[in-house]
Amino acid sequence: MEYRYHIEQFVWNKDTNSFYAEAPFLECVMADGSIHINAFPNQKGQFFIDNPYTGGFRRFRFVKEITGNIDGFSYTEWVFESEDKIECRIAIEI
Amino acid sequence: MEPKNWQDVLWQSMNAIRSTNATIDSLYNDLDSQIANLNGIKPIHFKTPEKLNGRYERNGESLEVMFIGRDLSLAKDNWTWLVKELNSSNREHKLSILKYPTKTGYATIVKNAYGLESEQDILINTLYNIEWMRRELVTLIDLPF
Repeated sequence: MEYRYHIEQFVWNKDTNSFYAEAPFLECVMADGSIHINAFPNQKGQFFIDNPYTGGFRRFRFVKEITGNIDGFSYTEWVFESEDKIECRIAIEI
Repeated sequence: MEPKNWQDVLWQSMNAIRSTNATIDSLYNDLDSQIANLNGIKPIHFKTPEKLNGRYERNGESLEVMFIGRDLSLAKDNWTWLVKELNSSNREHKLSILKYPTKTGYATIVKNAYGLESEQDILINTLYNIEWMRRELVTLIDLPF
């Protein structure tokens, strides 16, 4: 099963060659075009980001989990990476 | 009185504000202008910034570029162009050139794309290459695929 996301849901940082998004606010598109009831259903499994304007896409696979604390607020990010080293950071807890 | 040191610059600027009831933005403008004058730096000037206005196509996307004058969200005086995506997102991105350079021979370009701001110094002469400016504007929205 493929889990796909529209590129416009992500913030692109050219300097760090990375995307960023917050998991609870994502919409996952299924093969039949429907939206999955869970925002980030495949958890640490792979997913695709599509750019429908160019027809381009990339597959992202889980690399590592990062946890931390900023001003008393704890956070968790999952870091995914494409085959050509584009990074995608997903904020799990916000 | 010609400014001799930073204290003179500040004093002259504060006096200018007092007489006109101008805002903090004007104070910044005046400080930038006087410091540039003190350092012998000429402000950056575009004769016809609207020349870059128009509709562009990039990777199947339509963009509209429009010169908007000064972007007030930046503390320093600037020349700013808005780049708007003409799709369902209607996202807006900005490219600004700071009016008063801080380094001789260089200009500071501030880009705000996808909510992220970045700043870099470029050779001043590059700015007056219209094709370069066009390319910087349309590639503001470039994504990696």
